[in-house]
Amino acid sequence: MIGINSKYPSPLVVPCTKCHKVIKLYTHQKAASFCCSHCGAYTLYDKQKTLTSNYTFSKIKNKTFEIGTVFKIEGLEFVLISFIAKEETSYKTMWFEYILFHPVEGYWTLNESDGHFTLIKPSKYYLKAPENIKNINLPEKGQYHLYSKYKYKVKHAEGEFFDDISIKPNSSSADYVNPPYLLSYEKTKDEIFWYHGEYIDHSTVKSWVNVDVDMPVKEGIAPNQPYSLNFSPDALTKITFVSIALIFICQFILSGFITIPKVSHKESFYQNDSLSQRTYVSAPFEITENNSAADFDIIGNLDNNWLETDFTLVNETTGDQYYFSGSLERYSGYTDGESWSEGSNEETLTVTQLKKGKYHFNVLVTNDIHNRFRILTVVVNQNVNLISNFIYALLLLTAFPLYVNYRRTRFDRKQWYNSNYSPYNYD
Amino acid sequence: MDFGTFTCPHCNAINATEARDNHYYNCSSCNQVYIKYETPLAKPEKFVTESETLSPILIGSKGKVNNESFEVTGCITLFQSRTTVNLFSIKWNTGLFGCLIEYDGDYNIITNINQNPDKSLKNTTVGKEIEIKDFGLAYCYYTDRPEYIATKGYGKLVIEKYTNTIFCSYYSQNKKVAFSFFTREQTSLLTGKIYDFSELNLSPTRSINDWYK
Repeated sequence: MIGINSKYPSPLVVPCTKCHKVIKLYTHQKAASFCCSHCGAYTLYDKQKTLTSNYTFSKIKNKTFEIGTVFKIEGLEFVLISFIAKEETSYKTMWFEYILFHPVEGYWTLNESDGHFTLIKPSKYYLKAPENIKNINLPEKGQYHLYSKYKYKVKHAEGEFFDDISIKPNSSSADYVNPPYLLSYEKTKDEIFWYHGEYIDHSTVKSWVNVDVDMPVKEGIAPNQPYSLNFSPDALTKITFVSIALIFICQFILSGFITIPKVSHKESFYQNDSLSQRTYVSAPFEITENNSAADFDIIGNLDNNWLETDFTLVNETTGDQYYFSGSLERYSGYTDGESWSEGSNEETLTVTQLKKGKYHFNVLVTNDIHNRFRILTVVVNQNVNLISNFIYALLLLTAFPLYVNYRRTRFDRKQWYNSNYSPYNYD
Repeated sequence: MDFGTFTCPHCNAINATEARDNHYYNCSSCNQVYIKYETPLAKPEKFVTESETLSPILIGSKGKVNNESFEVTGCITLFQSRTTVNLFSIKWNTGLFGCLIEYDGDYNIITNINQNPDKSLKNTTVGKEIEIKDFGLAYCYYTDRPEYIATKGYGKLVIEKYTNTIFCSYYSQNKKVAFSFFTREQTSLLTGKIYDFSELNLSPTRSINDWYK
């Protein structure tokens, strides 16, 4: 090979112009300026490529990572070449940028804000006039929403830079979020740089470096932090509807083909006394399926009357007893030129978990001592479907997305709290 | 192979060269660079021979994109105020020369070079980008400082003059890229496509194992 050495050059070593400590320039002549990690002296290559230094950055924060730290990301070895602390000019919020360099991939940035990390890469996205754009759709990623517009100034810096960072940037920036993704631009009068980022959790960041680091404490929710129950609204809706459809199909199959109700017993009881209470004992009947349910339909012939029933169902084989009760009341009349009625002469009482065997029931009937009920009929239907199970399943299925949606809304409200473009009202 | 001879104007050494109509050539004897200017208004710039490209691409690397193979024959490195740009000359298997532009992890193969595309473009105000259908401006700046330029190998110059130039880059959908160069003499519009480094299928490449040590 000619002209270019097949071995990549070692970092350029230069002395700090103030404290004379050694500084490594990993990007060689790409570095337009550098700032000493020891004394903060800022040195700039002037137009003749000679060094000038007339500025010193003061230290404001202990860095999470040291200059020169190797990050192994996606199998590639990046080196941390610089650290910049930036302050938003309106709200004075601060964030930190760790600039990483790789000979093939160029510059990537690990952004630290309130203890949250985002890995940012240059993007080839283009938009001629983004100033008034509030939503951006990237076909492969989805919809990005405007979160903030801001200007910044550099508060502190260390390492090497491809630009003169001492010049007050006259740029406007904006962040669009689509958690875990972030789309940002930085625009000056004649250029616009777009960046695309992705939220990175602490464990992943730690796995990239081969040294022990004290990770910063997370505060609040980052604009592009993903919700932990990571269901998209569309997926959640689909899952819920499919589940409900499956429940309906199961119910239909169970009720239509598997569980076929049949009448096990029917018996009528007559009032032959003038008491307010008496007990009837039914004839024996068979329950033919294990773990089945049975409906006890109680049917009266009441007219402006009432009665109450207390059942004791007895399994004659095992001695197991089941207690349940119900009541009937039926009233009607004619008031102010209109007829009315209320109550019913029928009620269904359901008993579950019945074992196969011979049964009878005792029923204590209580009624108005001055008004006889005349006849009470009890019909026992065994092997009935339990609509209650179906309803419980439906409630559970709808409760889950409602819960997720509630948590998601709470999360989103907090996430957008610091945005001037929040879709939520916090009054 | 189309070998011919080239006599170095600096040391009079006779060089055998594959392509006789190169626009630049490094003499293998004195390592001085020979530049052939096409317009009389173009002035020589500060060319050097020893400098680092900081690129993983080697002169002599062979690559393949879209079933078309090419070889890297030379490189012009522009040391600019904002970045270092490598303009690699590539020779396609058809014998035609092309250009592979590399900077800061971007790899662009130029497929079309249009000089002085129209009068309105030539008269564009300094500092302003041009309107290219479906493209948006990425960045645009004026190279007003006396940067130096390094050449290695041989090849065709994409443009003749780099300093005192307005350089603009534009992106479009489907990884299309465009560059415009404005000088007082002429304007060039370059269009091409962005590739990931792996998509160039280059071999051999510069070893970057432990590059930071």
